Amino acid sequence: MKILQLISHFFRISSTSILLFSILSIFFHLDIKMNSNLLITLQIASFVYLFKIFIVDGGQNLLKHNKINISVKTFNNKQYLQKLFINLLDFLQRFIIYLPLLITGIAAFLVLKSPATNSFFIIKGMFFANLVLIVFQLQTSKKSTTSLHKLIEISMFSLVILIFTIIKAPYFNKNFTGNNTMKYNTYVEPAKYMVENNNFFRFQRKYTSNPINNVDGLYKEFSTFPLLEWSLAISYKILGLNNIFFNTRLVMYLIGLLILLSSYFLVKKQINQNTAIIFLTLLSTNPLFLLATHLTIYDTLLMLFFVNSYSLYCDYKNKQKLNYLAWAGLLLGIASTMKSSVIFWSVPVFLLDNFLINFKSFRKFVQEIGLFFVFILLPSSIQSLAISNLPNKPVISSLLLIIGLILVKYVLTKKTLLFEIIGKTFDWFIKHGILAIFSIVVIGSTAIYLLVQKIGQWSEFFTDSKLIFLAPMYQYIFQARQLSFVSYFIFALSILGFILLFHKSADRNQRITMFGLLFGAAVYLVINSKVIFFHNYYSLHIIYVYLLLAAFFLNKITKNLNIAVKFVFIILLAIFCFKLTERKTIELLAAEKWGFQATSDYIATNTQDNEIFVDDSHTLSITISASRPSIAHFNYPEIQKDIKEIGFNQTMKKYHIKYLISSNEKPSYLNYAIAFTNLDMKAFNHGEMTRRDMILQKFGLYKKQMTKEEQETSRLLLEQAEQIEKKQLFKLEKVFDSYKIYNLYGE
Amino acid sequence: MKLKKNKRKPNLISDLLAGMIVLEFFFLLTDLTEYLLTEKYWLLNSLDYKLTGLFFLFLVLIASFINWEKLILKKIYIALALLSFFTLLVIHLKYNEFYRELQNYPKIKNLSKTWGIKGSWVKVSGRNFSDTHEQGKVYLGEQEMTIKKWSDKEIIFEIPLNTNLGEHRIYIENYKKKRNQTINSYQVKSI
Repeated sequence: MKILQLISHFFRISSTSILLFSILSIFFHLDIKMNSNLLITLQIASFVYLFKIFIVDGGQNLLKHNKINISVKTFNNKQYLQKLFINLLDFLQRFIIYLPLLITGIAAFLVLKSPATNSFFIIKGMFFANLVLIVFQLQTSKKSTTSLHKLIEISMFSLVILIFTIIKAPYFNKNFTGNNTMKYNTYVEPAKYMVENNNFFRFQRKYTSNPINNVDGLYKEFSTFPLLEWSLAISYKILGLNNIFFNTRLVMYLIGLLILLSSYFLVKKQINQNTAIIFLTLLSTNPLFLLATHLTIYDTLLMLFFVNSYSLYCDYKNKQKLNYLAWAGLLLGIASTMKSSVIFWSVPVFLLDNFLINFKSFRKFVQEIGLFFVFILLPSSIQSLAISNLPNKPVISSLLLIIGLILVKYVLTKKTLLFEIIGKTFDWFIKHGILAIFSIVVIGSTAIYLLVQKIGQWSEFFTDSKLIFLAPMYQYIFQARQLSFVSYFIFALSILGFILLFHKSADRNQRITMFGLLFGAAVYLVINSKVIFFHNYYSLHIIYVYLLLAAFFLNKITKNLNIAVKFVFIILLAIFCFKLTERKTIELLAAEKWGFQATSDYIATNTQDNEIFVDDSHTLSITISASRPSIAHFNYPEIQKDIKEIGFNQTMKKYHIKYLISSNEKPSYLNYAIAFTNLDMKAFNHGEMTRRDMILQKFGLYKKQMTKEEQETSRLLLEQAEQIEKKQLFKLEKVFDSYKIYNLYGE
Repeated sequence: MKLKKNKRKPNLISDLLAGMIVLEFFFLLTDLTEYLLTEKYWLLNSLDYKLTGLFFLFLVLIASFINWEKLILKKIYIALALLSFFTLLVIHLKYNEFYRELQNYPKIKNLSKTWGIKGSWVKVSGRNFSDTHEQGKVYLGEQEMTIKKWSDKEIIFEIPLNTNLGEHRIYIENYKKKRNQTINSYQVKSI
């Protein structure tokens, strides 16, 4: 065997064995039993040697391995810069495995050198990024030849994924004390207890504990389809609960990757590949998308389902196969079982899109939308009949679920028949005009009545007559919930993109897609303005549309650029966009409170399993780490009665409410004052305002005056709060940085 | 443009297979060597990681001579390699657990003397006694001795005057309340 070949094999085998070693060391915490400097040196040497071989012999290797379908003559005719670039791409394609191997290997051993570190998340993140790249490599190597075009496509997509990962990597291991902490409790807690109890149908949220009748925070029903909880639980099952922060963020990161992938295929299909790559670059560096793939929220999952649903719908438009339409409806239906608000920004997209396509045939519009809605409704039925009852009646619900799935399969096979039935029903209505009008009036009135009832229940989510035309509210939403996430630069580009839609260069398909998405965003903005006003991540869909418009414009000016220049443009665009909103990104992702772990350990050590703590101010996430129930207040009639009879400390002991944790200077005594009075708790509204009132108050439009009785109550509560503070009923026991722990037992 | 001939094409699967086999042999031989040299025969306190590193390089070098691309053509070899890899991995993990647990227990290498009188000092050499600030206890039989010096590898204790005469077993109990598993005796004699 030749010496060079032997050396090449030596370095390749050492690279792979070091990679395997690092993976095993990370996940199984092996002792490497080797000098780590030696391993790092070996890994670097492997890389340098292999880099030299393949860059120097680039052109020859191109032909030798037949990986790129390009003739010698064509290759030689290309300019020097392009030739060098092609060599680099060839090297990257072959070594897209080895380069990450090297980086992972080095990083693993640098981390393992100092065992007392939490930096494993970097390595784990790179490991999973490597897996993605390896899968791409294996996919392309299955084919005997790969076109240059495909190679470039994969390389550019990989570049965007790398950028996305690099930006997110430093924040994987942040604890759950940043912004929107309750979101972690809402979804991480159920997943954690599912794994701890080895029961995926257990639905428990200790942060919603009730000290009177539900200390453990156990629920008998799944309120929605718990896909996110189950995804987190699977992650914890595989990777363990020890590094819950990393493992949680990993799930959201993977959802983010899937969104990027799905969006790429959708935009490539509907507009073009260049726009798709630019859009992905903008999306992967956008602070709101980074936040949405950092926090545990359903809106990210909804985005994933919507993109795939819309993609399938676009396939239906192109291929006219009903299967695509049915599955588009099913996916959206599944999304609606997780959070019904998805209907309000996604259905308008489909409606307008379909209406514009079937402008000349209202019958076809009714048929397609009708079938689409049938398949949207199916998952909701299964959710309410079967999945929701799994915690309480697992056997019956599982059976119902199986029946439901069989029913869906059956309906799928009959989709053509259903399509025809809808068409014939439409024909019947047109034929019997008066009857049709009467039926529509009856059905429409019933639907409106039900909707109004539902809106009444969801009054905190939908807009109302006082807000719908409130211009200052929309101005605020634009500034705080949109512009702050896209920057003036992207906003300006999106305006230009919108104008470009009217230019003759935009084809009909592109216009319909963009107008549909814009319409969906506009309807959503108006209908759900109340929630968008308060929560930043609700604007995700709207930001998505801004970025798409901006990408649409940038495509116009970059589509004729040289490949190498495009690569550089993508990198520069990513850096520029990231830098524009860097402060916002860091503010959203890096927020973390000190003293969290020490507080959690203290609570875990000094309380029994059934002892509760009061969350005075953004300390909810301690419930996850300490596994102890928490409550927001103890204002219950039973507790109010016991405080009068047996005293405060004894009452707290009776209900096992041992601590109060606050991250403020002092506890919010006013919040608990009512429990020390004789006021009727059921009649008292605790000074809570509706979202509408809060919005009106912000713009000085809230006109409600306090009655004399309310003023008297307010004075009474203030006095009581002062008394609680003076008597030191909440005894300060321990301080950890920003966390203060107060003992309520009087010990 | 002349093409260079290359009989062995780079192949991810063959590289991974080779890497797995290298690791298998590395685990097996280092574990065995470690146990024999540091526990059973106590020729060393711990393995020299520079030597184990060189051993790893040696294994990789041997693997470089083998034509792995031919081996992966037969699926049975891949299956056997995977099976042996996971089996050895499990054994290695279990061994690691076992070895780590062993390090929790004090281990006595030798005593300065195997007999003495009351009031005399005895030096015990070994390891895993725990650090100076995490001092444990020394017993002769059931009687506690007076510690004069304590470190992870050396203890000096004084035999109190009220110690019973005769042969006693020495127990070193570290701060984790773990006692040595080996039997070391000490005879307390009268003056």
